[in-house]
Formats: sequence, C-alpha cells, structure tokens
Amino acid sequence: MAISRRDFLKNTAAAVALSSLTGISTEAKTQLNEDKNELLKGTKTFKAPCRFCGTGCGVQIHTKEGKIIMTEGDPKAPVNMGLNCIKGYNLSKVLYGKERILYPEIRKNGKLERVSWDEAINYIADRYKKVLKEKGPKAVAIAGSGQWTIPEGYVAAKFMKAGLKSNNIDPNARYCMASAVAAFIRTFQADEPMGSYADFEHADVFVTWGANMAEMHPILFSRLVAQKETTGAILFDLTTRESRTSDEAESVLVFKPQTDLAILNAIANYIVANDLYDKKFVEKNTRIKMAQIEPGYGIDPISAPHLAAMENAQRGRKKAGAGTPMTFDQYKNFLATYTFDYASKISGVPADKIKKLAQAYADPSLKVMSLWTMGFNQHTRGVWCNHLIYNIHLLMGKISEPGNGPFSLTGQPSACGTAREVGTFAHKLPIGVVMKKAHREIAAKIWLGDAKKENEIPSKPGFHMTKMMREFERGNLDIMWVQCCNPFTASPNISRFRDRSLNKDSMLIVSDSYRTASTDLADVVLPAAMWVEKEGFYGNAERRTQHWFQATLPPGEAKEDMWHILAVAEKLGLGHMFPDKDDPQRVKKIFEEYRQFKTGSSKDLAPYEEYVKARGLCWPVVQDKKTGEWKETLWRYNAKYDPYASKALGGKKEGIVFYKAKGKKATMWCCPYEPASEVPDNDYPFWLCTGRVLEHWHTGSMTARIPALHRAVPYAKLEMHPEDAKKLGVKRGEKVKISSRRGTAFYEVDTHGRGRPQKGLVYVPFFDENNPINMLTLDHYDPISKEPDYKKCAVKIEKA
Amino acid sequence: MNENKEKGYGEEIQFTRSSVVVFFIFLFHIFRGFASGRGFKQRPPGAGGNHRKSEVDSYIAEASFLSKCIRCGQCGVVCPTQERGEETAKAIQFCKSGFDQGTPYIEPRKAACIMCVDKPCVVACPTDALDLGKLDIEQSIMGTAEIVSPKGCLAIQGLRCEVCYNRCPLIGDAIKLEKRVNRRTKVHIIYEPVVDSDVCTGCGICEQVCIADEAVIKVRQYYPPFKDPDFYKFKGSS
Ligand code: SF4
Ligand code: SF4
Ligand code: SF4
Ligand code: SF4
Repeated sequence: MAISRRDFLKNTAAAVALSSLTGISTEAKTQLNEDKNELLKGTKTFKAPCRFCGTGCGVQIHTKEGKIIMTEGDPKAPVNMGLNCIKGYNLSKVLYGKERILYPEIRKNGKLERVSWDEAINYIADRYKKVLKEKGPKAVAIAGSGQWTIPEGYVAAKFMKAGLKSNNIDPNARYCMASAVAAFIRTFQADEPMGSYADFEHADVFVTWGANMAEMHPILFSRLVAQKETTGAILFDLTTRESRTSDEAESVLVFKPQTDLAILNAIANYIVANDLYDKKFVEKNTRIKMAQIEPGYGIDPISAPHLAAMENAQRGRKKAGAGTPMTFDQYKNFLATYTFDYASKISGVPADKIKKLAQAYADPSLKVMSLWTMGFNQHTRGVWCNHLIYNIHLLMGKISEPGNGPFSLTGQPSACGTAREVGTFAHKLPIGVVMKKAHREIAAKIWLGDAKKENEIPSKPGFHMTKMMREFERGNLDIMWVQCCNPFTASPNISRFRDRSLNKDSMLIVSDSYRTASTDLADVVLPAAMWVEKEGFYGNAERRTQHWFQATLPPGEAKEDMWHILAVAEKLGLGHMFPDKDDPQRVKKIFEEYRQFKTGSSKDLAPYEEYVKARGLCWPVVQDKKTGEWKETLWRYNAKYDPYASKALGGKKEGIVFYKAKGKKATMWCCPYEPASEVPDNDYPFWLCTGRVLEHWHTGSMTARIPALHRAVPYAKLEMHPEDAKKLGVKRGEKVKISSRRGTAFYEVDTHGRGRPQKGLVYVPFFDENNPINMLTLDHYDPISKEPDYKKCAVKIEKA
Repeated sequence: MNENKEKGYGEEIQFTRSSVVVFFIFLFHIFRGFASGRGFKQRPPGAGGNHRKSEVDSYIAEASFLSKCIRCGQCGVVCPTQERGEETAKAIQFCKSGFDQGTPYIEPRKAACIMCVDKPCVVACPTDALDLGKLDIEQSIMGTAEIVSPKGCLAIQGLRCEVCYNRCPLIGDAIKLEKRVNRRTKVHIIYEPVVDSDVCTGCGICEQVCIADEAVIKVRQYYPPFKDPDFYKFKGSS
C-alpha cells in the first residue's frame, strides 16, 4: 500500500475525533491545519491515478516536505503495473507549470484584478441571487468535466439539480463520449463497458475503429501489442489516416470519412446472409429496432447558412432517437444492400479486406475485441456507429466474455467515474434520468430527505454542452460557470463563442488551475487546486473507481473546485445540503452519500475505506456474504463473474444475461449509411480531421506547461498526403493557409510524420492553444447524443 | 547491429602518409573536445562536401570544411528555425573561440537542424564549405544519433515515450522501433528506439526533444561502415 498505515490510521483518528463535532467547528479547522503541517513533514509516498487519460494508470507520488519530488508508475496498479506514458511520467511537473492561477480575480474595468476569496464569493453569490430572482434557474448553467473528481461532480450536480432546481449542467464529456453513452443506454439500458482491461490478455483479434490507441491509450496499446507478440493475435485498424496504430496492424482499412457505417453494416450482412450468427444467443438476448432515418445534424443556421435548407428539410421529422420494432427477416432484408462490393465502393476499401475482417468477426473460434474512441463518438452519426458495432458482437454472441467484447474507450480520467456514473449531464441523475419520476424520487430521497419532493427536481433536461455554449453566445444565459475544462478552445467553431458582444452582461465564471482562453474571457476567475492537491476519486474506462489522498498543498490561495461551489452554496443558503467546505472528512462524507445511489442498483460501490486500500475496484463491487470481502466485477452480464447476472439467471454460475435491458434483451438498432453534413466540394476540397498526439493532452492547458512535453511537441503541424502537397506546390516544413467556412489558420506542413492521412484529407491536432484548429471545425452534432463531429468538415488549403 | 561493426572501425583504420595530416587535425579536435567536454562538433548540412553517406570520411570532411569556411556567417543569417517558433535559438551558432572561431556549428539540445527542404544554409554559403551538390537534405551527414545511455531511456524501461522516433524527420527509417515483451510485467511491450546510422542525417531533432532530463539520445560523429578497406588508402600507398 502506498499510503502508510500511519497515515491511514491518522485519518481514521481524525474521522473519529470529528464524529463528535457538529457544524463548522474550530477543531475541524485545527485538524485540517494539523493535516497540512503533517503533509509538510518528511518524505511520504501516496498512490493516485494519473491526471490525464481515461486509461487510469496508477502512480506513486513521493513528497518531501510537502512538495512532490517524484512520481513513478505504481507496480501494484493492475492497470499499468508500474508503467506510464510520458504524460504520466511527467506528472510531478504538472502542478508546477508557469501561469498557475493563484488568487481569485474579478474583471474590473475590463481587467482581471486580484480580490479576496470573500469578495469573489460574495460577488458571485449576489449575482446568483439576483438572476435566480429575476429570471429563474434556467438562466444559470455549469459547464463541468470528466476531470472533476467524483465528489466534485456529485456536489455540482446536487447543487444545480436539487439546490438551484436547474438541469443546466453538462460536462465537456459531451464532446467526448456522449455518443457512446447514448448507444449503451439505447442498447443495454445501462451505461459503460461490460468488459475490462483484462480482456487484452484473452483476445485473438483486435479491431480498432477510429482509435489511434498507440498514442491515445499508450499503456493499453502496449498490452495489446504484447498480446500480439506472445500469442500471435492480430490487429485490424480502421481509420481515415494511417497512424502509429496502423503500423502494428496486420490489416489497415483506410476508409473515406463517414463510410464506417457502410463497412459495419457490410460485416453484419455477411454474418446474417451466410447464416453465421449465433441463433440461440440472438433469439434469447436481443431484439431489433429500426432507427429514425435522416434525423438531422444539429446544424445551427447561424454557423452554417449553406446547409440551412438541409437541416430544415430534416427538422420536421420524428424524434431523432425514435425507433420502430423490426423482425429479424426485415433486418436481413435491410442489410442485403450492404454487400462487400457496395461497402467497398463507397468506402474505398478493397472488398477482400472488408471480407477478411468480417470473417474474423464471424469465426466462432476467435475471440474479438473491438475498441473505439473519438472516430466513432465524434461523428454526426456517432450513436449509430456504436450501435452497429454492438450489432456485430451481439449477432455472434461475442460479448461479456474474457477477450470477447465491444470496448468503448474514454479520453478523460473520470469520464466514466464523474460524467457518466455521477450523472453530471443535463438529463442525468446519479441513478437514472431526470425525465423519470421513479429516478427523481430516489434522488429526492437522498438529496432532499423525502421522495415526495421529487417535483422539486426539474423533469426537463437542461442545456447540453453544445446548446449551453450557443445560448451563452446569444446572451440567453446570465451565469455560466466553467469548471475543469476549457470550452473556449475545445468547442467546435470557437470563434463564434469567443465573441462576447451579445453576452456582455452575462457573467462567465471560470475555475481553473492554469490560464486558458476560457479564463481570458472570464469575468471571474477562481484558482483551482488540481489533482493531488486535493483528495478525490476518478473512475476510468473499465469501471475502476480509484481513490487518492491529498499529497501536497495547492499554491497561493487555490482551492478545490468543490470548495468554490460549496462556498457559493453556503451564501445561497444551501449549506445544509452539504458537508462544510473545510471539513477534512468532506470527501468521505460525500462519497458515502453518493454510494447510497448505487447500492443495490447493480452499479454498487464499496465503502470509502476499501478504496483507500485498493488500487481501484471495478463496479459493481459486491460484498461476499461469507467472507465479508468486497469483490469487484471484471465482466458484467456474465454469471460467472457478475453476481447480478447470476441472480438474474436464478443463481446459475454461467451464461450471459443483459439484466438491465428491457425484457433482458439488448436492442440491435438497424441504422443505414448516411452522408456527412458538410462534405468537400469545389470550394473546400479537403476533409479536415482533428485529434491528439501522444505528448499532449486535450487543449494542452496542462501538458504544454510541462517543459519536457512542450519541447517534445511545441506546436501543431498539419499532416498531409505527399501527393496532395505536391499538387499544391508545398514542401514539408512550409506554411499553408487552411480555411473552412468558419475560420482560417496557418500551419506548417508535414508530409512524412507519424500520421499519414489518406489523399484528400488533412489532420491537425487540437492541443495548440496559440493556434487552435477549432477555429475551423464544425459545430454540427449527432442529433441523438448532441456530440459534435470534430473528425470531418470541408476545408481548402493554399500555399501561404 | 552495425553499431558493433562501427566500434571496430577505429582499430582497423590504416593510417597512410596523407592521412597523417588529417590525423593530427583530428587529434587536435579530440584534445579540444576533452577540454570542452564534447569531442565532436555538429556542422550544418553539407559541411565538407557532397559525399554520399556510405562514402564520407568525417575526419576528412571536417578538415575540408575548416579549410573552406571563410567565417562569413551567411548560413546563420538564413537558418530559419527561430522564426518557426519551435526553437528559441537558431540552429546555426558560431564558435566563439578556438582555432575554428567563427565557423558554424549546431547544438541540437538547444536548437536542432530541422532539415529545410530548400537547404537555405547550403545555398547561402559563398564557398563550397557547405555543399550538397545534387543530394537531398535527407542525404546530408551532420553526424549520427546514438542512444548514449540506454538505462536512462524511458522507452527501454518499458514506458511509452518514443518521442525521438515520433519526431524524427526520417521516422521509421533513421530510427526504428524494436519490439520485445516486457519481461517483468509479461503483458506490455517495450519499444526500443534503434538508430540506423546509414540513414540518420544527424539533424539532432531527437536529441533536442528527448524527454529525459539530459538527452539520452545524442548526435555523435558518423563513421562510415567499414565496407571497402581500400577506400581509406590514398592511391600509391603501400
Ligand atoms: S496519460 Fe493515460 S496512459 Fe499515460 S500514464 Fe496517464 S493514464 Fe497512463
Ligand atoms: S537545413 Fe535549415 S535548419 Fe538546418 S542548418 Fe540549414 S538552414 Fe538551419
Ligand atoms: S539525428 Fe535523430 S532525428 Fe535526426 S535523422 Fe537522425 S535519428 Fe532522426
Ligand atoms: S525520447 Fe529519449 S527517453 Fe524517449 S525513447 Fe527517445 S531516447 Fe528514450
């Protein structure tokens, strides 16, 4: 254990000491101060999950006199066994970069000026009071994050939904895996992957769909390649740009953007037409629905006048998410169009390559793991892509077994833990959704002390992130509070949002650790403690909930994001709903309250202390009645591993059952290929795809401030096919001007980099805050998940 | 690996009458090198002539470069690395003291040569001190990279780094990744960066970007592979 026994005992002692105290006590404060002094003494070792990607590697943090002197991979962490990527390796420096925000600031006469915490909190609270009185709770919003710790997200959700009675809270995870969430819910009526990282050591075939795992999930990819080396497993890579992942693949299928839909259907067609599917499994565990076709693209006429007609034509249709039941024969007929030749024709992938992939999926002796991230999710038909991959796995019954399964990877360290499980979305609750009375009752009971108060939680979903940005832009939101994210760099088509002319009178509050484009636009900036400067929990992509203790003090007057909200809540008279903001036991208390939502729901969490001991636990974590031991679940829906599945099958110890799904049957959604909203034409002949690089994380607000990582990749370059470059008369290293209908930027061209785009497509990573590619990207979104498409829009390129 | 072969080279070289002169120049360099802590100076592309990689004798090339460089500073004027925002310095610096005072050199950890396709430094050079003839910048030889302390390399420890590889302008050719399964964890792969010194130009980008506190991959002098022993003999020597 990384936390020494003594530390642990000391914390328990503190808990005991405090249990006899009530309210804000001076003792509590003293205790905290003592803790602080304790932190500053001698050398100590702590455990924590990595601050960056959704892999959730464990690290050990060594401190000396309260300062982090070193971090290293935690050999006991099952996720990474002591290894890290270079972002994790450089974690110790993430707290000590240039431009940490140290004090609260308020914009006065156009300039951000340092103020005291009291002044800042009073200023915010007064404004809240005024707005809530005059315009009601719909005029305020919080833009949160999958980088919030679980308790932070929980407090923010409770503050908004039960405190202010507003559902206007949504995380940046909307930009990241909302499509995955929607598809999970629509297919299984339960979010999050069934498998775990242990799948990597069991699979025979890996298929990466629009996921450059080699760079984005480096440690998991390391496991994937090791499995290939040791067992001869093979990798198919489906992509629009060859990457480091493609370098390891036995077969690379480079398809034209958006045509993944056709390839997915062609695989299903092969399986169905040749009667290769697992009939028993399909009959017992699935049903079929036809998706609403042409559901629209979330086009905003303001930003895309050239497509307004298209959006209008589709707007009158039924709800984007609607579906009509379908028989298997109808499904079979629907699929019949998707022959390999047809898929090959629209995708540009040779038919025999698609066939080989289909055969791998269809071979009952091969265990197949499909992995995907933003290529599927950031897609105007992202939910459909997710559906179509489940269809293939369900048809073959290759799911919920070691080595067999669809695995949706995440990008943020707590996209699962905070955004999805806590439910910091505009429509979600810690269990269920705001639209359902039964779910509101559960929330009302825990949050407001009485299930009958369910009507106090608004039943209509609030603004999702994309909508929130648009409403803020138009001045329809009086207060927008941004925490743990940087939407003014990360949102698509940002120039429209950076223009504050229509919302001069609105208040933008930004809680952050480093200065970003978002803090530059803010009216109030609050300094945030980050990562191990506070205690917290993250939940990674395999449902693993990981705890860490505070290991060091935040700089200046920085406080954790949760403290910011609690301070305002207190002023608004909502203090009674939460532990005191300075209570040293606050994280534990909040976690235990949150845990009530999950207990018995099949998403059970263990008590706080278990997480203090373990290197994370994958939920459902159920207590063994005999031994009293808390056991994690690595494969859900499989009676051999998941106690809930076993229960649903009457105590049997084997078999697969989708016990959360309606009628215990997963829904296979029948979705056609539909073109992208904006496609290249004569004026804008290239596709633009955006993404990340191994060295940087998201908008670079943290990694770009780590000198070694900044030195490694100091600025974004534009990747282009050498033949395209030749045609344009540009050479590697020269600058080009790239423009879309929304904006213009300049980049240096690379024709021989680690990524090799197909002809007609260029790729630019989005980490470069000085030269953000999101000036050009498209703010169209999947009409079901509301997740924008960052992977395709039309651009033109000229020699600069 | 040809690394081993190269190491043998120093012993097998046959000193001939004319190369004795070169040898003394070389010796001088070594002594200077000891004094300055660096036995080798990375010169701009094309220093010492338009040799193809397998033919160059870097000692002769250095001597030839020194005899032709008129210390005019033109190459430094045109070197564009500073403008690209990446480096804070120009790749081309000038020696401030010593017998080669005023000649250009590159200190890659500060600012590596980014291998401009148009070779502006070579074009600007008024003599043929910098001369690539018809050769591409990718065939130039400024030295060759080498992992100098494998223990310090993160990738060799099993971490996912490979920054040198990712940033090498000749990715996959000058640096390759050799894979092996991590013997400790058994479920991870180790990507060891391996330089092919026959392809590497010695641009130094890998040295500049290496993630370790002190670069573990560094540009050193290039020794041609020991292919044809006669090549190193001057005609007429016994
Ligand atoms: S960034 Fe991701 S892969 Fe890298 S150390 Fe952190 S969690 Fe692991
Ligand atoms: S090739 Fe370009 S970067 Fe390299 S030394 Fe010459 S001018 Fe400078
Ligand atoms: S010096 Fe390094 S970066 Fe440059 S070509 Fe050689 S291996 Fe590649
Ligand atoms: S950048 Fe440095 S530490 Fe990283 S793999 Fe290359 S040589 Fe090793």
